[in-house]
Amino acid sequence: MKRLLAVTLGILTAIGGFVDIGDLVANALVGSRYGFALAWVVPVGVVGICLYAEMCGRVAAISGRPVFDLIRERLGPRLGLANLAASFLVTALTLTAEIGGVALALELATSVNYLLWVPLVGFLVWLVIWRVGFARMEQVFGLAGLLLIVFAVALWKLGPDWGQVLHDASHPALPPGEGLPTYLYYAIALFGAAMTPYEVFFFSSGGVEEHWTRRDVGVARSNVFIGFPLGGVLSLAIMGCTALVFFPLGVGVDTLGQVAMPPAVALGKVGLAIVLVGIFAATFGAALETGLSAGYTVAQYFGWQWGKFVRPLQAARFHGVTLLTIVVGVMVMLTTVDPIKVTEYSIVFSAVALPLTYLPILIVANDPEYMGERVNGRISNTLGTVYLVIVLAASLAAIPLMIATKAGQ
Amino acid sequence: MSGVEPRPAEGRVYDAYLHLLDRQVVDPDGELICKVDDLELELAEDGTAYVRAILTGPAALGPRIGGAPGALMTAVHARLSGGAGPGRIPFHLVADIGSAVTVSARPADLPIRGFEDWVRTTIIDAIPGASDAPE
Amino acid sequence: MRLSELLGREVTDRTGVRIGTVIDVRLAQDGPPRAQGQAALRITGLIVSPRSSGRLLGYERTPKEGPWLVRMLVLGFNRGVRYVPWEWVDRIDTTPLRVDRAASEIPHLRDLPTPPGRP
Repeated sequence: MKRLLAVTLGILTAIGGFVDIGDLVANALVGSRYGFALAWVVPVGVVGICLYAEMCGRVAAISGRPVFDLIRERLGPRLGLANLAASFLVTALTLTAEIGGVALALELATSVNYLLWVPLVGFLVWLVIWRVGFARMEQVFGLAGLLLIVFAVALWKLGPDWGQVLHDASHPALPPGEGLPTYLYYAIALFGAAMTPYEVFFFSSGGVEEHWTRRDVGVARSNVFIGFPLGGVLSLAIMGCTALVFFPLGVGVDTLGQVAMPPAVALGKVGLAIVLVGIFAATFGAALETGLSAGYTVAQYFGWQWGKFVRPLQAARFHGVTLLTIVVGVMVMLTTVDPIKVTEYSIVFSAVALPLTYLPILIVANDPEYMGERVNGRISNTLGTVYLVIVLAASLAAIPLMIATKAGQ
Repeated sequence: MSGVEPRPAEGRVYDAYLHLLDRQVVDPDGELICKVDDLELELAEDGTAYVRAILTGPAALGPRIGGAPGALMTAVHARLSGGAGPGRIPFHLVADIGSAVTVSARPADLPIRGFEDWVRTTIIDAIPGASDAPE
Repeated sequence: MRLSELLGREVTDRTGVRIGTVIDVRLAQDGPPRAQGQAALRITGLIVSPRSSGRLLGYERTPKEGPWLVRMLVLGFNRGVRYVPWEWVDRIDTTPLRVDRAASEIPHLRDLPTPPGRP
């Protein structure tokens, strides 16, 4: 039973990380605008996050140290602080987007304006972090987030010409009127949504919260290799749904309501109800993850006691940081900035920040002092180097492309 | 010190920046205490230098970060703590140096708790459930 | 005195020729026993690099493992790194630190045998 429950850590991370508000928005938007022409980015992102998360999980299980703890050791205090600043800001921005996403989901369900939900959402996120045990948190939101399978069901129900779909996905072509720079910009955004840094902060810290030892490397791996591909399948389903419903009409998705429409179209009121619960659970779960990750990164840089596995009194600064970040996120949302815009910025900046975390982990996973004989094998290192290049390229191209295309106009 | 032949090393060898600095310090139960933000040296009369203590906290970390952020950190800490120096853990308490530095003392016994205590008493204590054991 | 005050210091030889910057300090656990019976950590020498930036992500000498790209970068980076025994350092309160040997006498780190107790 414990094995089964252990797998849910990966499922939460995958659902919350792979299908959070960033993925919902990115995949839906890309599907509506490009059909299946950017579908190839999803598997690229899945392999990348599997690779990266496996290394982090292995490091956490063997050395007992989570990712960010090691970043300062490897980079030194100055570069480590710069890394912390960037990673924390991206995580905080993502948390803000997730809070907005939960509020939007509630607005869709209740027709009460999302701004009124924002403070309550912030409070609930904090409350769950404060009171609900780590394992219970994972199980509830992990399983509820799986409801997003409704997108796959809806896609199947919408009955596309699968031959055509496969052809379009494997022969990416720019739709008429779309330029290459914007296409690449959205490719990077989709990639950033798939590989957001907070996913591995949360995964490795969660592994330490669950007291993983070397015997749990297998658990870590099953989490990764089941959870993230599942998330990738759901992402593609979301993309497929909007590709079938909106792309032919030339309508670009820019509200959460449009994201939720295809299951409603395909499956009626039941589909709508399920997708709303699923979106709520996935974005709320992601808000929990990013909130905790904000605390993890700061506490792990400075060496403070962190974690839900101790009494809050023993990790006062950690809880203080988490609380403060949630409060700031709520305040930013209350300035009535568009939550979808915040989401888009958060995923692009995630792509920019990715090399900062990725390179040190690649180094640490090869260091016999931490890993003993469980250092990276040739496959991990070959793929690792390939992805290092991809991640660097995406990071360097992101901001110029954002400026050149006016953030995807 | 000139003219003295280098004394060969016996016992385990470490590189300070690679193996000690910026490492996590833990107690025997694995509870997290602090980071090794710097090390205090003592110089013997014959010129030999030994590591005397672990230094920790903004007063130790600030100078290592350097520049404007470091100066800010040091200054803010000096202000808020009334000029207290860095937290100090005498090096003889170090039991093991591995992926973390294990110290054979409880966190409560070490004089390094300023900020944590402040946050705890000012904010966290006030919230119901702060002392509840985790599920 | 703090150990970090040694890091980043310029080092010259007896004649004033620049050798590099201190990027690490080597310690050996062979000092007089401390209160708990453990030997104290003694400074045995300084690791000095001709480049002014610090150690690259923790690799040293020739990394045997790791992605080829990273190994090449690190090898290039570690070229020219030298080891100055602590007893050869003339004074530590001068800027730059002066070593009372000629630059040619100061060994390269990669030429030294692996110290005891290392993986």
